[in-house]
Amino acid sequence: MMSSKQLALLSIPVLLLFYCNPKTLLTGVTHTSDVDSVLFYQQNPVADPFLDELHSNHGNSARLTTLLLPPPPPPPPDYREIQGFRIQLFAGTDSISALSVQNKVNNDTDDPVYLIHEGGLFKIQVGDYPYRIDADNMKLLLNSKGYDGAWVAKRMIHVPSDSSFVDSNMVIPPPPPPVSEQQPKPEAVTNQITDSTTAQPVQTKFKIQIMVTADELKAQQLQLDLENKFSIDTYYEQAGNIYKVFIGRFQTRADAEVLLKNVRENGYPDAWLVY
Amino acid sequence: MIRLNIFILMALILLAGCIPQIKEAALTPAPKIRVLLDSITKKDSIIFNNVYALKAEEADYEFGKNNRRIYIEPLEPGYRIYNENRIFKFTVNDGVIFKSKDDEGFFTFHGKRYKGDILISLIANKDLQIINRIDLEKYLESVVPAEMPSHKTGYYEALKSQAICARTYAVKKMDERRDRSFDVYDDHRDQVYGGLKAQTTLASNAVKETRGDVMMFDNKLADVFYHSTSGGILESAENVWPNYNQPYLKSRQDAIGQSFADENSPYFRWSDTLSINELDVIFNHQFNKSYLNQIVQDTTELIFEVHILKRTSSGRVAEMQVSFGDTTINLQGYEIRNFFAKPQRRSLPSTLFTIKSISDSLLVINGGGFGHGVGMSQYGALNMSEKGFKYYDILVNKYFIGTYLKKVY
Repeated sequence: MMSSKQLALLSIPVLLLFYCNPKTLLTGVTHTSDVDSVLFYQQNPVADPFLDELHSNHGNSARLTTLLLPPPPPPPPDYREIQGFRIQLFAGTDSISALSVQNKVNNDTDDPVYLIHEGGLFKIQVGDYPYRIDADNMKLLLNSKGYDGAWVAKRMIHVPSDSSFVDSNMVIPPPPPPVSEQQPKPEAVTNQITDSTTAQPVQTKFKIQIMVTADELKAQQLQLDLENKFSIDTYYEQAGNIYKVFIGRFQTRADAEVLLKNVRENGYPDAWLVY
Repeated sequence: MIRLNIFILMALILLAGCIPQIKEAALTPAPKIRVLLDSITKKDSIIFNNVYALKAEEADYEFGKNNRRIYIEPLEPGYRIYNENRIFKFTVNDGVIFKSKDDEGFFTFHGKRYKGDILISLIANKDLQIINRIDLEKYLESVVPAEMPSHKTGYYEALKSQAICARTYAVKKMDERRDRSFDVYDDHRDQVYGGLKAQTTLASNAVKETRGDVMMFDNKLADVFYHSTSGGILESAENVWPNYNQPYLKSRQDAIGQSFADENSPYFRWSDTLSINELDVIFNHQFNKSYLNQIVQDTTELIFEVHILKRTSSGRVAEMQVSFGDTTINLQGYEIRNFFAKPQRRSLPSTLFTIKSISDSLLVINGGGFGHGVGMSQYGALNMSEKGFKYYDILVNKYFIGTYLKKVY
């Protein structure tokens, strides 16, 4: 029988051998895992909706749609053109001189200054004046600032496209006389209006002048012709020694211009709008 | 008493045999690997942090004592290397080696520090290659932490798995490219090599503990692939690279028991939403065509359609057709991931996805995984490591079943 001392001595190498696991050294089986074997071997595939969907017909196609719209029409210009007046300061074949004048006059007025190239000439024109009297005042002002050659040109001008804006912001003068380059003085215009013999409705702002004549009979005949042709209020007015034949009375320029176009297209191409 | 003495003697002999670690065996030197750091076409510089010697026939020229920076500049033809004191001109065929005077020497290039030698050579009289020649094990110490997180001790076994994968890959490339001027790129084209700054103690220990271990199959180095996240299903190698058809790289579920190995990965499941406007930007970027910005004369319906034409056995998208306006394209493989690239991410994380539209103008891509899905899932390995798996189980019992490990030096 071994003593307890011998047992103790024997147990030391046995424990050491167990710890060192000499079997592994001898057989070459070096690796064993201490994790649960269930982690290595799958009994059944792991169920997963996403992976299952990969092998179905779902999730294989997609379609997106959108509508392409044509671009909107360009916005209407914020102005429209009407008959009116500008002050012309320069006309010449030299664009550099025109630009020089434009720069100078830009410093002398807040009104719009236009550089226009027409008829082979570069022109510098100032302002958009529906009424002759305003144009004349501006001409005088420019004359006083050294623009001696300024003169009033009758032409198409720009006014805000909203006619009510024009109307509401303008000081409405009494109806002016027929416009012409030979009647520049505002005082004369006022006098002539005062001489007007035919009463007009207070609200009339625009009317279409067909003709000016010194022969009253001729004016009467034209008035009858116009009445028959257009069935619209026609009349003539005496201004000094002459008679002016008109058609229509309008509150707004737009309405007047509709008739103006109609009149011009039906036998009176020289008709014009007056205020 | 005699018997007892004999017994004790035998036990002591056995005991002595059980602790061979006491005597540290001389290590077989690891081979040196050539890592391409960059191909430069214009003047660049290297900073020596220790003394490096340029070996020439007549003498060794030392650098790094006073003027630590040298400049390298391609010429036509050849190139030159110079600093404030010296200038050397080289012809097209000249190769240059800067060797460190001691093992602790390192240099800095493009802001990263590296150990080992520097090889410089001109390729095709155009690209001046800056190559780091370094002991393979030292190289791995900078690769493993760059390829896998190494901040938790629970990742230790996964890091050892990664070290063996990286070593096997590198040794294989060294053999395949022995006639070329370098063995591996320093980025994702091969393995990300982070230099000295990338190294961590845990990853370095993982490399040291698996020193010389590689993965083998059929007496040859195994083909080793790894990726970030499988998404629950591994891909067969031949579906990604037709030339690789290995029995240990086949599609199967990537699970531990009854749960997926990398379900803790942030890329295990992902979702992405693309509007028709973003798809138009993608189309415009790739094909120089913007359909949304075209001017039409009349109201026109614009349709974007995508159809998955073919999936691999794992369910990954193998072929996809995309139609937009009057353009139809067929995409395959990595093109599919690249097609959906957005400014905030380079490409789709993977081709493991489904698609659907949730409105007329929104496309939803529900996906899983990150990477090609072949070989070892790094997040799966990390999870297994934390659960107590040993590195050899992660490799030969989970991800490369049928391979075995071998110490090659």
